Amino acid sequence: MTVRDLGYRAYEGELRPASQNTWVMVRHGLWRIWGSWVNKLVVFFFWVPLIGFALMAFLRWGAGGWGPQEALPEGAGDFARWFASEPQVWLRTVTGVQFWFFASVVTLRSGASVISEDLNNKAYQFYFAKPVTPIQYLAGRAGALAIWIFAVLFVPALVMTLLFVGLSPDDLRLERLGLLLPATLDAAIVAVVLSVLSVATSALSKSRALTLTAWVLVLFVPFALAGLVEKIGDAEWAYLLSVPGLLWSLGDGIYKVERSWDQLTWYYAATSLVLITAAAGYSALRRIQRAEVVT
Amino acid sequence: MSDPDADDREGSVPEAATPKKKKPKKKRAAEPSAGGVAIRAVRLSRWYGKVTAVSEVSLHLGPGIWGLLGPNGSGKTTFMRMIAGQIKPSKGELTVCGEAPFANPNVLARIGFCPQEDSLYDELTGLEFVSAMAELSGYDRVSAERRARAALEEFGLEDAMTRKMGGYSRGMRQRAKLAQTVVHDPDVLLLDEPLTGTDPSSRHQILDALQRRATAGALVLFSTHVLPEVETLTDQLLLIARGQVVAQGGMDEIRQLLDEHPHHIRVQCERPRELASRLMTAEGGIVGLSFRGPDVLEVHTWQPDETYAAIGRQVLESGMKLRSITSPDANLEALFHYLVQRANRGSGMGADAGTGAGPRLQSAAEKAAYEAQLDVGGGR
Repeated sequence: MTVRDLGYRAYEGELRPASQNTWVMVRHGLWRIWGSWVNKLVVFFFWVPLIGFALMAFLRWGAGGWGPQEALPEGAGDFARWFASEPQVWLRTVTGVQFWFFASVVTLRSGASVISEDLNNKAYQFYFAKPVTPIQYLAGRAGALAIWIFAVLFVPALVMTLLFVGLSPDDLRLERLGLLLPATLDAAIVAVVLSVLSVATSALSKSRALTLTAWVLVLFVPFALAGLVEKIGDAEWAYLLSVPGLLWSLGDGIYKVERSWDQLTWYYAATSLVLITAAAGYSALRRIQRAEVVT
Repeated sequence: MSDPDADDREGSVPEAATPKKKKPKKKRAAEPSAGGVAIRAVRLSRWYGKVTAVSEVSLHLGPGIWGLLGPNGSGKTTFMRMIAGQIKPSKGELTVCGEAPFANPNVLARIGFCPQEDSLYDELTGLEFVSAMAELSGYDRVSAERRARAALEEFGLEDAMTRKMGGYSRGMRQRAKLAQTVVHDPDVLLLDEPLTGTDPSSRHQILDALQRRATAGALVLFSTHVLPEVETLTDQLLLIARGQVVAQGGMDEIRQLLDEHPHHIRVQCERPRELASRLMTAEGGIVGLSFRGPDVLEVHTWQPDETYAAIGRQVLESGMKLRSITSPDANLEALFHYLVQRANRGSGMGADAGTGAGPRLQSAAEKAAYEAQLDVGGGR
C-alpha cells in the first residue's frame, strides 16, 4: 500500500481565536438538533396549529374585520370572548400552543439529554482536548437549543402578526406591526430560560432517563400542581414554583394583556426567572468545570 | 499527490478565509516553536481518594517518539490525561510546551489527543466529526473540512468518511479518532493505545504517520501493549507500573542499568549438559544455568561479555555443534515483565526506580540539579 506523504510541517498560518469556539459549538449543535427525527417532526407539524389560527383569523375578518371591537353581549362563552379579543391575545394563544406542543418537545429531545448524551459518548475527552472552555461548551449547547426554541415560537408569531397587519384597517396596521416587538422579546426570553434550564438539567447525570425525568418534573409537574392548588385553595402563589407559569405571567406583562393571575405580577415572575435561570446555569457550569475527563 | 495544506503554509489564503484578513486583530498566529516542544513533569502525582494513580513522576521528554508501556491500571491513562490537560495533577508540576496544560487553550491548541475509549457520535459521519474538531482547533470551515479530508485519507478512510460512524468497524473508529488527533497538526501527540483494533495494514499506516510527524519535530507519546511495535517504532521508552515510572530511556540504556537483573544467554547446541558442566568451572560471572529443552541451555550471568567469550571457548574446545546463541533479554517483553515484577515486589518503587528519576529530592538545589539531569533529549 502506498503511504500518503502529507509532508507534515507545523502549521504556521493564522488561526481563529479560541473565543470563536462558542459559535462553532452553536453551529454544530444546530445541526445535531436538526439530525433528530423528533425535531424534524416538530418542524413539520408546527405549521398545523398555525394554519388553524390563520383560518380563524380569516373567519373573523369575514365576520366583521379586525378593527376596534364592540362589547360582547352578556353571557358570551370563552371561545367567543377569545375570538373577539385583541390580536395580542391571539398571539399569546398561538405562543402558548407552540410552547406546550412543540418547544417542550424540542427541550425534551435536545435539551434535557444533550449533556448526558455527551457524557455517554465520552465527548468531553474530545471537546476539552481542544481549546474549548467549559463556558463555551455550555453556551454552545444552550445557544443552539435557544435558537431552535426561538424559531419555534417566533416564526408562528411573525406569520400571525403579518396576517393581522394585512387584515387590519389602515389606521391600525402600524400599531399591529408593533406587536413584533413583544413577540420577539417573549420568544427570546422563553428560549433562553428553557434552553438554560433544560441543558442544566441534562448536566445532572450521565443517565438520559434520569435527566429526562427530571426535566419532565421541572416543566410539567409544578405547573399541574399549581393549577390544582389554584382550583382547591384559590391560591396563585404556587405558580411561582412553576417555570411555565412564570413565563406565562411575564408574557402577560410583555404583551400588556389582562393578567392571567391577579396575584402573580410580571415583576415577581421576572425576578424568579432570573434567579432560577442564573442558578441553573451556574450549577451546570460548575459541574462541567469540575468534570475531569476520568473514565 | 497534492498537499492539501500547501496553500495554508505558502501564505495563500483560501477564498472563505479571505474576509478574515481584514480583521487581523481577531486572529492568532499559530506558534509552533513557542515554548519548545516538550513535556516536563516534576514529582507529578494524582490520586483519587485513597487510590494513587500516578505517584511522584519526574521526567522531561523532547521531540521524537516515546513509547509508554505499563500493565492495566498502572496509571498510563491518568498520566496521559494529565498531559492532555483533562485531569488536574493532585501534586507536582507539569508543563507542556512550557505551560501548564489543564484548561489552557494555548497549550491545548498544540496538543492532539487520541483517547483510548471506543466512543464516538454514531450519528455523525467521520468527515463531520473530524471537521468539527478541526474547527475547534481554530480553522475556518473550508480549511477545517479540507484538513479533515486529508487526515481521514491519511488513515485510509477516504471511502468511508461520508458514512455515519455508527457503521464503522472498531479499526475504522480508531482511525477516525487518530484523524481528529492530527487534523490540526499538533506539536504534541498523545495517543492512548492507538493501535487497538487495527489490522496490520492500518498499523503500518498509523506507525508511518507517527514516524513522519516525529521526524518533522513533533513529540509523540503513545501507550501500547503491542510491544514488538514499540521496538519497531522507537527505542525511547517510559515504563510505568503502579503509578510510577520504573524506567525511562533507550532500551539498551535501561537494560545496562539493570545491574540487579542477570543477563540471560540462550545457547542451542549439541550437548547442552556437557557445555553446562564446562561453564560451571569457567569464569564469566555465571550465576545460574537452566535447561529449556533437550538441546537448549540458558545461562544467567552478571558479566555477559565474558560469558559470551567463555561459551565460544568451551564450544571450540569440546568440538560440539553450536546451533544458535540468543539473548531473550533483548526482547522488550522480558525487560518489561522484569521491571513490573520488581515494582510489584516493592523494590525500586518510586522516583528512584530504574532510570526514570533520581533519589528523593529534598532541597530546592537538589531539585534544580535533578531537573537539569532530566534533559534526556529526543526520541528516535
